[in-house]
Amino acid sequence: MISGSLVIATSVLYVILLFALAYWSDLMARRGQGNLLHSPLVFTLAISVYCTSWTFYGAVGSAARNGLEFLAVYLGPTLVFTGWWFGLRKLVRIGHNQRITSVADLISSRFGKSGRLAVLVTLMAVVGITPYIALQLKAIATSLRVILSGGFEPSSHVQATPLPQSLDDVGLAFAIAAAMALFSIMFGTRNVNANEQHHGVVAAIAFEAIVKFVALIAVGLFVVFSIGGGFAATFARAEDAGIMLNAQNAFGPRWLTITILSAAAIVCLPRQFQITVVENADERHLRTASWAFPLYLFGMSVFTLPIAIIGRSVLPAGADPDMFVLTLPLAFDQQGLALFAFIGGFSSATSMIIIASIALSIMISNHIVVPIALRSTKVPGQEAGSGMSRLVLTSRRISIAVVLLLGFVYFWLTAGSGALAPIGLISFAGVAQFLPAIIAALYWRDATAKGALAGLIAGFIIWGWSSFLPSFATSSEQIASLLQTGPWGIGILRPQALLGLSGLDPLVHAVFWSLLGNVIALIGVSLFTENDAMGRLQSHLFVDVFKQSTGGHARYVDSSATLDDLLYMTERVLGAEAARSLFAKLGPGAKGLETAPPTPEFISRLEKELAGSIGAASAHVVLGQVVSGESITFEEVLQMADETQKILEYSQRLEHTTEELQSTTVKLREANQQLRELDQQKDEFLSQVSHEVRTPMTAIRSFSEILLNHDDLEAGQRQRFLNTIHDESMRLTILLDEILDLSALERGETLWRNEPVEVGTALRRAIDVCTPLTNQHNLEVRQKNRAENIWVVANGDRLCQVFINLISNAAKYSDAKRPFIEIDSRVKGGELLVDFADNGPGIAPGDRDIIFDKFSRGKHDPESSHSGSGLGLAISLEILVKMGGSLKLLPSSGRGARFQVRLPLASADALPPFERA
Amino acid sequence: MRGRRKLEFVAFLVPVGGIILILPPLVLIANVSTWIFGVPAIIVYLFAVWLALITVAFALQFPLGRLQETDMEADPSQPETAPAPPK
Repeated sequence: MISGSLVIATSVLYVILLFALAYWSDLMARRGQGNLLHSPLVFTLAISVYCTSWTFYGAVGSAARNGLEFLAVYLGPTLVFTGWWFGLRKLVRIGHNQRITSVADLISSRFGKSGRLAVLVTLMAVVGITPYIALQLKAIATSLRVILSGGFEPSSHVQATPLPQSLDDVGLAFAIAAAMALFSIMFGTRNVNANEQHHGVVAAIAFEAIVKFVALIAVGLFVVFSIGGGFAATFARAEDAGIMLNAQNAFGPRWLTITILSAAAIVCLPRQFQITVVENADERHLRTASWAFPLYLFGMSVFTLPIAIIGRSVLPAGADPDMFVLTLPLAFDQQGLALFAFIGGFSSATSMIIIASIALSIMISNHIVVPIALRSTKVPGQEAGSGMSRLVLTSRRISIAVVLLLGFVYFWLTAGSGALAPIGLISFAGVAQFLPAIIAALYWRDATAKGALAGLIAGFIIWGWSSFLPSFATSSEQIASLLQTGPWGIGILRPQALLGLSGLDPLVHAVFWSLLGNVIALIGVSLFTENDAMGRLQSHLFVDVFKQSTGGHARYVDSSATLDDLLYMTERVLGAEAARSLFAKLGPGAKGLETAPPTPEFISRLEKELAGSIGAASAHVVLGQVVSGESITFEEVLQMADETQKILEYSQRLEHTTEELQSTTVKLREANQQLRELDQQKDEFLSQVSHEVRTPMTAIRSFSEILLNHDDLEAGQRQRFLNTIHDESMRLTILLDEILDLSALERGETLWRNEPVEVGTALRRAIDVCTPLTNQHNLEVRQKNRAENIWVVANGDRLCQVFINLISNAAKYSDAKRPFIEIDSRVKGGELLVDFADNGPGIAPGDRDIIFDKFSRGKHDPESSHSGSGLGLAISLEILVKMGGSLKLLPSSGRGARFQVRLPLASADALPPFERA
Repeated sequence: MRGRRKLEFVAFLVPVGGIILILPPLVLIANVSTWIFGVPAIIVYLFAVWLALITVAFALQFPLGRLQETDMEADPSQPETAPAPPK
């Protein structure tokens, strides 16, 4: 038998230890020394605030009653944490980016910083968590009574005579609630933090996590190995103990429902959200938690079933299975272990109460009290210079007290209404109503505030009707009869058989209908409503959180508010000192605050920082009071920005298209111009050809007519006429040959081969060929430099043709007394240069540009004194171009024309083998 | 990029695989009155699935962690380290 004073003293000592630990941690954190406090391990341990007294005591009870069902409560969170990369990581990133302070803040912030949503979620959370807090009080009170009575007094006392509750229990629960309120107020509301993190509290919670873990493992080891004789022997007793391990319905709808509920709860429960998202100092900690937290849950569950089996088999029938963890050590006279187990249960209950009450108090103060205070023109505490922070803190302290009082009242009303687990599941089902809104917030861009509101209201009403209300059935006759017959006798509205859906487990029934109604309302209303501008912006910031390069967006444009105004406003919220330090941190410096206009980025960052203290919706309202005193509201600006953006994009696209069209038009015009020129060239060419052909044809025709009509011509004259006809037809033939040649060159001759050609040889050949002509005209051929053994890549015959053409031109046009042509061939800069300079009439300046055109034979020259076709130079140029060279008329110095042929030299390996050096 | 998608897909398979393993009909295969080393098969099965999930999560934390580091370097809006509370 443990003496009451020892138990009380131990509990008090434990609480004092918690206070000291929290105080010391706060101190370390403030000095910046608390590295351990920011470790992933502490984070993981703090998350295990999930394991409340429901886990510690209730899981064994649940196992004793329903077999394996208790495992689903831990498998749900395990799935969520092992899938952290897709859910929790996004949630935590958004939490950091948007300075989210609670689950209500998250939902409100995502849906356009809606104040109504925040209030609704806060109220739902308070109602949903109240049974949970009552559960903890009940667990502590019951465990205390059990340990004081030595465990032998059958605790069926609770079940057999639920009412009236003994005054001791009520008093005890009240005292515990009061002590926890004190702790939460002391360490949870020390100040209004920029990011709502409570290092002292987190450290205390992590410590409690270790205590309850070690205590449960200790009891488990004792029970399994000392009483049960090992796992195998323990499980062998299962059937005798009446615990069905292979129940056929064990994995039915209830299993699925509890898995879903627990997975939802690990995110939606305000205390879990507080620890996982709000108190999270570093996103990286999730990595460790992803396996360490499931491992913790694993450890907490290993001994649950064995304890239930042994408890059932060795303790007298009627013993409360919820208290096996305590009664088993007591029954085997292990006083120390029992006391340790009691402290373990105590710590699991207190940690839940502390975090839950802090989380709820933040929600109440940020989403209910502050908005109301903002509406009143006069903010309390403003004169004192402490700003709204005092109001916030006071309201949080009161909220904590009220929340715990509510829990106490619920405990009192439902006194002893049964086992621990069902109460916990009612809470789970309540907060699971946040899940659709949260999922929509993170992943569905088009979810709207109205949709979220409708979903939450629908789910909450159905939950309240089908789950929360029936929990009072044992203490209220009216409610019990309501369950039986429905309101006003309407059967289809019976809370546990809605629309006549009976035969389902009440929990499954409530969860099914509430989540179904919730989701349908959320989706349905969202599809038929639109997000406002703010909603659209926030939806982008939430859904695409991983796609943004920066978290901040310039939101307020052209504000006429000065930094001074903003500072004054911030002082009202945070107090003078905190506001000053925040401004110093944010950037523009405390100096020169008077009139400088703040940048939009600064205002948006300020709003975010304020949101970290009083929630997004309130921060928006507060800033709006100062900043949107402009003629244009923020919403309109956003709207405009949105529209402008669209118009800009559209016009940019148009511009782009126009540009494309314009460039196409220019190209087309150019092509058309080219075609027209070509057409003109063709016409000119044709008319020139006709002209060229006509002259000899006329001569031939007239001379042949004379010959035909006059038989009496003398032989000499006849001979002369025939000669002329012959000459003219020769000229015609040459002309036609050359036209064919040119057109073949222009079209691209099929059999054109470039090969190494020795220039000296080609030149000599050309001079030899021209010898009769040069002799006829007395043209002297001089050679200045002779390029010997120089190889170019060319077509030998064609190159020769070019040289012949140039020499014969000089001969044909020569008019000097002593005509000559000077040929100068040399290598310069990797090219062969061959100059042909004569002392003929030269090219008139007006003809220099057209000399290479077809039929451009100098117009100046006396008609018919030369027999050229006018195609020679054009053909030569075409030939040289085909060989990669060029033909130019050089500026002449003095009399005569000077043509220059340029050809690239053949590379060494292109030469015939014997010519290589 | 492809490696990243593969890794994310594997990370996605972990909870999905867990769900498939612990819900009917698969879980019903183990729900028989067979005993493994004196422990009911269903208990061995559920705890083994649980432990497997933990092990895979433990193994995945390293590659996912590297991915997370590169992501967070690219996102300047992330708080550098734990922000110190104001005085």
